[in-house]
Amino acid sequence: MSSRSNIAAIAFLKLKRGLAVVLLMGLAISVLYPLAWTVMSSIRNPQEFFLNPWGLPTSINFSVYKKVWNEFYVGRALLNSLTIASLTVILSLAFSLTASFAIARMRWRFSNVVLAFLLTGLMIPGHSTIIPLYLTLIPVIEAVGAKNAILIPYVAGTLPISVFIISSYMRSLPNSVEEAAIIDGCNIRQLFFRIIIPMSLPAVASVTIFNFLGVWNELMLALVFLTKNAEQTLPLALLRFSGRFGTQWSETLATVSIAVIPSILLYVILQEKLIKGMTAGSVKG
Amino acid sequence: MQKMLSNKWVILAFVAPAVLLYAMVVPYPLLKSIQYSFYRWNIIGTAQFVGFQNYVRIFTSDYVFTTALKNTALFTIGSIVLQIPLAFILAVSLTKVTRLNKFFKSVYFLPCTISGAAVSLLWQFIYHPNMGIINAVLKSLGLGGWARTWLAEPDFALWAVVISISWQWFGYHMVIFLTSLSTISPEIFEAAEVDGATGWKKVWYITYPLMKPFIKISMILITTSSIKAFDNVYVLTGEGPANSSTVLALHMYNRAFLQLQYGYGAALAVILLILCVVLSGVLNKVFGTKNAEY
Repeated sequence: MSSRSNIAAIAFLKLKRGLAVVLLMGLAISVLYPLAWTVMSSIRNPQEFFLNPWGLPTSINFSVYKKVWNEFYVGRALLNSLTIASLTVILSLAFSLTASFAIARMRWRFSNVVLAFLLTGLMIPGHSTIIPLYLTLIPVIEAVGAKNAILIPYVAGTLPISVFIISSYMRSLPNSVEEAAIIDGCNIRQLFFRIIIPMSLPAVASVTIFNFLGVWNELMLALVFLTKNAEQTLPLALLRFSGRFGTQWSETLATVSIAVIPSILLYVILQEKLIKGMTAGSVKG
Repeated sequence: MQKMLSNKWVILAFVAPAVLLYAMVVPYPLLKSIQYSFYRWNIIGTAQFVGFQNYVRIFTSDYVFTTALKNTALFTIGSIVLQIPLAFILAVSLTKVTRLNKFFKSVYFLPCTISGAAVSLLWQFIYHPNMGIINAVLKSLGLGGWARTWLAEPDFALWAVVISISWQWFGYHMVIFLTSLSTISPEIFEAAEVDGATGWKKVWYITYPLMKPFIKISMILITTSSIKAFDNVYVLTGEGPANSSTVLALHMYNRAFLQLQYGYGAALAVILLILCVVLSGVLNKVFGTKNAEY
């Protein structure tokens, strides 16, 4: 082969690769630009925003944030989202770690039956239970408040995926773990708390991320259960500024930013861990 | 050790809380839903057994249900067509582009971490007739005649949702495919190159068959989540204009929680459940259990 056609081939390859990068970059911009724009627009002066919504800001103005935070319970919604998501994560871990330990590491006849029973939840959409669930929980809502009552469906809803991920991880730990622990004189509680849980932390991390974001972003149950402004979570707070007569865009975009920035920060910090956590249910690992 | 690990009381104490909570919140209300679906129950306290009447009404005289069923099917197909080929091509390309692949992967996955409500509001602005960027770009390209009030077009509203949902989730499926690609050993490709396979031929004859089980996972995920789709439709179009973009979950929500027809809503919920289970089963069968091996 002559050197000239070699050069042509290399040039062609480089061109192809360059073209691919340009396309990949275009797609990346189409993802990033709207998100960056949302945050940018929310700190612009509202009048300037309406004159040229897609332009760059010339000044920074936090007045809209002050307004939604103070007058529309958005600060309250942020706090509600944080507490409800955190409590769900903690309670769900307590239930699923104990159950997974008994299913994956202890020896009894019906462990696989119980596991199969819990995993049926992976197939059942929440929609098919929401009507009776709400009707039976009305007295509970009246007794303990909607913010506490909603934890029941949230925690129960996270159990199938949590038990699935944690129990399959615990099963992958070698049998010699127990043997060594018992030779060292561990009892069952120490085995659970000091050995199996610390060894299962990667699975715990995945489940924590998955459940936290799931509840943080959940809309339908919240819509049915949380009817009062003061008890609502962020996805509901986002909708306060749209109505029959159109949408108050500056307020909406500021609230979207308040809801989205924590997710994005978490993502920037955790990256691979978060991707793994969110896909752990679909791709074992 | 045997004794300690098969202590009945410890097992009971560890398993019972999760099983009881789950049983009370998922299987029990599910059975209740099935029961309610045979009742006419419009206002609390006046439930009346009506046999299959709710189902008969749904299939014979509920035109919104017919639209919802058709839309759910289009929603599923549209989401699959927009996401899976794109995710596949991106995953394959990212294994070749080495320098920026981490950056691209992170960016494409980013929207998955955001709530459907937030994404839908963002897209509501993108589609906005006066201020939205789509019409602005069309006008700047001299195609102002193509500008529309997108979300008010009965023929487009559903697709508006499908586009926004695909924008949000294509990165998720790309990550599934990237994970599966990382399990294919490079030797297989080397062997194929020796046999004369190059470029996209390699992709078609080797990568695709090996990735089939993962494509199946993505198909099932997209199908079930399309049947369950609620957030994005509720926020972006609110089933409008004139029910044209309604979907099953939204129809159920409206009937049960706005019109307070609990029995009728429960019947819709049962249909939704059956669709989810049956379609995941069908997809599992269609894609077979035979996975390619080399």
